[in-house]
Amino acid sequence: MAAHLSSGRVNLTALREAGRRELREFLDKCAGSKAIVWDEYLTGPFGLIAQYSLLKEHEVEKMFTLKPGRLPQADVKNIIFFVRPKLELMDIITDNVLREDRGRSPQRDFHILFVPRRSLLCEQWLKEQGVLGSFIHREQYSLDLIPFDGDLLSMESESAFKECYLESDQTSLYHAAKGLMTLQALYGTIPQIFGKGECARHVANMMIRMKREFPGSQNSIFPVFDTLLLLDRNVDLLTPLATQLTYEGLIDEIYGIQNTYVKLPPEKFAPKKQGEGGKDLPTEPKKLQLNSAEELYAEIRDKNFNAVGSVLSKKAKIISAAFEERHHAKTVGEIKQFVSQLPHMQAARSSLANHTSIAELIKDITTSEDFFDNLTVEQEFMSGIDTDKVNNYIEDCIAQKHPLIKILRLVCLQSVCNSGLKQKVLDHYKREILQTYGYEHILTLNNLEKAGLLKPQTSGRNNYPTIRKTLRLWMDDVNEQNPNDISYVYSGYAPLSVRLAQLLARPGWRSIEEVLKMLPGPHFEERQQLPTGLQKKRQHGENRVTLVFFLGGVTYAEIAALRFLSQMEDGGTEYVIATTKLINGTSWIKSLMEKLEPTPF
Amino acid sequence: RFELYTMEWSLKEDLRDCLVAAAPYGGPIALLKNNARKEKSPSTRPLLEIYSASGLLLASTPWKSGQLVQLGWTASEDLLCIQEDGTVLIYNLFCEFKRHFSMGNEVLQNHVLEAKVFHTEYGTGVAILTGAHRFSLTTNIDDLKLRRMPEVPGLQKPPSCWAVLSQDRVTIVLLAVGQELYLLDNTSCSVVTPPGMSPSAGAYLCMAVSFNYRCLALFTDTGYIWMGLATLKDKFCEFTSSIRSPPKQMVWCLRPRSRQRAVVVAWDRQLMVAGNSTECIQYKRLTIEVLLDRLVLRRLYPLAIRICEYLRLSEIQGVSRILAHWACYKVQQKDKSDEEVAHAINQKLGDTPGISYSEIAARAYDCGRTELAIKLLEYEPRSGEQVPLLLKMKRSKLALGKAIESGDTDLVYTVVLHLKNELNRGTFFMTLQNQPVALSLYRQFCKHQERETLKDLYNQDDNHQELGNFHVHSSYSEKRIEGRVGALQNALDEYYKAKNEFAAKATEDQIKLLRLQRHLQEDFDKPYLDLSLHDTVSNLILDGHHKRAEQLYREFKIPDKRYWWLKISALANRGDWEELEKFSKSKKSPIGYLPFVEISVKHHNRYEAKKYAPRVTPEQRVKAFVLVGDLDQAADAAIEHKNETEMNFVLSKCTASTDTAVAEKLNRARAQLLKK
Repeated sequence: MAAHLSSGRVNLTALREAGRRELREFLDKCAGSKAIVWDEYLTGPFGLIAQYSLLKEHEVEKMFTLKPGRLPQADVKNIIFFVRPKLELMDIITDNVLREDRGRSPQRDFHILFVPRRSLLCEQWLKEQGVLGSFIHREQYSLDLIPFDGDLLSMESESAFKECYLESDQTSLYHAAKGLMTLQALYGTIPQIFGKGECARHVANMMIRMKREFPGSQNSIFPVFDTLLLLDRNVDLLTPLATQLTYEGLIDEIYGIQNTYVKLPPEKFAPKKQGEGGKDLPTEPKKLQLNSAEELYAEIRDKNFNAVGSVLSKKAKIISAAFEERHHAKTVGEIKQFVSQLPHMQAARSSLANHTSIAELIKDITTSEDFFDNLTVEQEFMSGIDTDKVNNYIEDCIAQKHPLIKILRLVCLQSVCNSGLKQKVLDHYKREILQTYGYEHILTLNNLEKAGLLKPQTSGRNNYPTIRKTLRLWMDDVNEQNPNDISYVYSGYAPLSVRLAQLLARPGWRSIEEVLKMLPGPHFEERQQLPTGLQKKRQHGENRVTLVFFLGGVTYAEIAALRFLSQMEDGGTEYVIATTKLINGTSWIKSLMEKLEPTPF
Repeated sequence: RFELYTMEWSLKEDLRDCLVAAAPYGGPIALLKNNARKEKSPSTRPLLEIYSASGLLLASTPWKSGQLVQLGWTASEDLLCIQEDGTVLIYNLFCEFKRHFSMGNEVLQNHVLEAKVFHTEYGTGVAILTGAHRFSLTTNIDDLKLRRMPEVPGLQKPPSCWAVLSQDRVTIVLLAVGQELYLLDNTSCSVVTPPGMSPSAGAYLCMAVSFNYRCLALFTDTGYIWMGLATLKDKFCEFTSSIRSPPKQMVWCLRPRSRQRAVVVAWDRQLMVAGNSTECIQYKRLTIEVLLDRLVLRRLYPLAIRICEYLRLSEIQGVSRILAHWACYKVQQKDKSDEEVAHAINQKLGDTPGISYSEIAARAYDCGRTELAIKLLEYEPRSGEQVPLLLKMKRSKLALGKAIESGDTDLVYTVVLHLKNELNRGTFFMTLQNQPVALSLYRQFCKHQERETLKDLYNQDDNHQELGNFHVHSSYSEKRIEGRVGALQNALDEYYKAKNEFAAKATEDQIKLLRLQRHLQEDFDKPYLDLSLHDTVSNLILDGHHKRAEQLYREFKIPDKRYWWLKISALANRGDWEELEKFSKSKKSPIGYLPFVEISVKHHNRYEAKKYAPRVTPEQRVKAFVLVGDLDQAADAAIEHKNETEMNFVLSKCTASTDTAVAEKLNRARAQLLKK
């Protein structure tokens, strides 16, 4: 069921298993039949740890969504609230509990499971409402880092970037540090920590502190990770703004991947059976899980989209050849052999059909004129062309009222690639946006300015060209089919964040001190003492393992670039990726927007 | 075989006159002398004595409280003294009073007839049979929840015998009245019959439950003994003895690693062992932890530490725990100064893993030594542990510093809200001012819970930009347009104070637009309020109010290019092709004429589109002709440009059947181009 988690260099099944164990133990504490009341945001991430069957085995008979009012009638002994520690949610729970019929017999027992951490604040809140005593078990479920794939962990904390950079609320960083401590408890102390950015510094400080707080918990596990690299998202604001051009990146850009699932328009997935003639087209979106458990997907996800078509057609030939084999199967033995392979072949065929359909859907979009124009402007900005004046294409898009997020992505991209815009240019864009999309967006624009995505050029100096040249962020001779550099993931632009990781591994950051100083926040190195006997003696040719933690989100294209580095023959380093949230430019900008709904007059 | 120690009993009293209770696993024994005597002169006051299992007197105290019915020990070796009125007094094994609790009103009124102390996985429980022949019980005296058991129908006299059972985490009472056996659970009372019970067994006299609640033995007035599972699902064996009088006592044998289960029945001068030898039972043994706890309770710290070292227990399991207990004892020594005690403790404990200085500090605080507690807390490395105690000791500002150090925002929130209740508003704000982390978190709290406070916070900082944003935000929850405009006016003022000219101007425009929209809404009886400027102008054009649209365009200084885009798409939407053409000729288009072609094609009007194609600039002309479907002209333009890409583009649009001539023309031109 979770075989894909153990496929990588680090077996992340252990983390998932630890999560499942903790969940089972809690459920068993509440003896008897149960109903779970869900904080809706948690259901997706929980699905990656445990399916309904596990809950059912532990007498979970009903599931409800947390909402105000009276709880549904369910004849169970226990009602368990699975919630994030947020006051808004505590108010809803209070309402639920107060409306519970005290006369019902037998009475239902209430419990709370806080995810990922029990909160004094929330308990105090419940106490003030007079309901704290109604809960028999109040516990925490430390689900910090959730394994998404064999080399990928995410906290799925949607608002982490906004909280850290806009609101100076570092709650998610505390959870990140806790998650890293859990990881070290399972996979050994990470001897080297590198970091860049304010948040990275804060997380490293907390880790060191947490280690000191438990001096007795001497870790006796042989370290799996050699290095931890903590990176602030605001060190590289550029990358998520650009349109991702890998297969997985484009799926996410266009349809949005949620907790490894994607919902696609159903038309292309109509069952192709004779006689039906496409009469009953399905109306429900097609839901697919995307991870490395699917062989074909693992092969194409990180390729530039322009290299996907040839792989798909090659696969199609192989599969039809395999099916042709049946005509050559003469003896009973041969037929038996063929039949035994059939399930695998059929799975491969349906996988191929699915991805061919998805590729067609994406191609319709990537071949459109607008996609091309948009990409051209992005690439001009990233390669440093005309970043200092008002861009015609952006103006035209505003005039035609293209989606606001698209506009914001482009304007922010231009600002970042120019180390801020001239006041006149910035004001012009802002005015155009407010007049076209509504004055209420003044707060969103203010948020983008606070996050540094949009800013006036104050120093009068544009650092971007220096950064671009030193870090080789723009590569003219990109090879999309057989890449030799990470820049293939954006067809020319090499993600800054990944370049930093690459340069750290070889030749080291000392070579780029000057550029590091131009990027925000401190850069640092910490060492964690290992007990004697646990120091690694590296075998010749054995790769180092680096955990790269993106604080504030990471895109699929960046993940693809790191995977590309892992697979480089002479790379010497394999990467595991962790993040507060899997993002793309759209979801990221959205999380920074102020949602103002006018009350109708 | 060698002797461990000798018995040191020196009792002179007749045990029959005493209340006696022995703790499990060979723990201490409590004895209450003179309990039965009614006259309460000081000289004959009952005496409570506690002995070690070997008969050494550990402590004694004269009994000054009420009439005792029962003594019993908790799992952690506290002595429970159950009084007739249902009050339970708790002593430690040095006869020092710890606390008391009551078994409830019902017990108080009807008095305790009999009581039993029992142990379950929840802890130590107490069950009471009252004078009204009702049962009341609690399963855990440390988390007191009183339960009154249902009535036994027709019960007029006390049951001949009863016992408390724990099955599947539910506590039940089994009782016998004559020949009937009843089972009482939380909600009901039912009659039960043990399997394989002889029908001529007679009336029950005595019952015994094994320590682990698995086995049950019943003795009847015919001398019959039934032994089986306490769940009454199975019988082990039965036995008939020659003695029929009620036994003094009947207990299960606790025999580690024994394959035999047996009960011992005792009368005045006779003892009988009954049992079979077929099954294997595992008995839980006295664990090392329990042994250590017992040594610690007896304040035999050095011995406990020696045992830990001998057994090579990990520090957390062993030495640390014992040192912590020692320290907790140490803080109670009132004859030493705070400095001395704190120093002595740190000297001995240092950074020993697993030591919780906060627990020791808590104990010091319980003993009224706040200053000592604070000193001890300084040694606590986990700031998270320091905070709750500091709050309890009303050292909130210190607590705030520690909470911030920990990085745990939940802790910071907790302290902040604590401070908010403790301090007056001014002082509270001042305190936050010096702690940016706390201040940002409190702002977050206010954003969700009390927005008005947010304004006060920004005011205090003279943060006019945020105040402006605050007013913009509030304006959207206003239910009347005057309210909205008022709030926006406030925002405008703040933006000016913040020297944010752009935001001020934008807000001014917003107010202007709102006022205009109200007029439009009144004039045309259509919703205009809260549309963006773009949508307002667009709607005006859609409805044919060109003059008013023009007026807004000028008033808000909409750039020409954007206005042209806006107007042509609105006109196309309206299908007003005549007006579109007129507009195209009004002056030179700032956006060129390709958009006219595109918008017409988008609305499937090729006829109109064709009008604009020739006016498109030469660079865009190929695209325009292709859009309107005139491949011939597109080809001519491409050939004229001598542009191969354009030629290929047109070629790709040619279909073999209809456009052969065009394709040929293009191929020729291309070949010629390539020759050069």
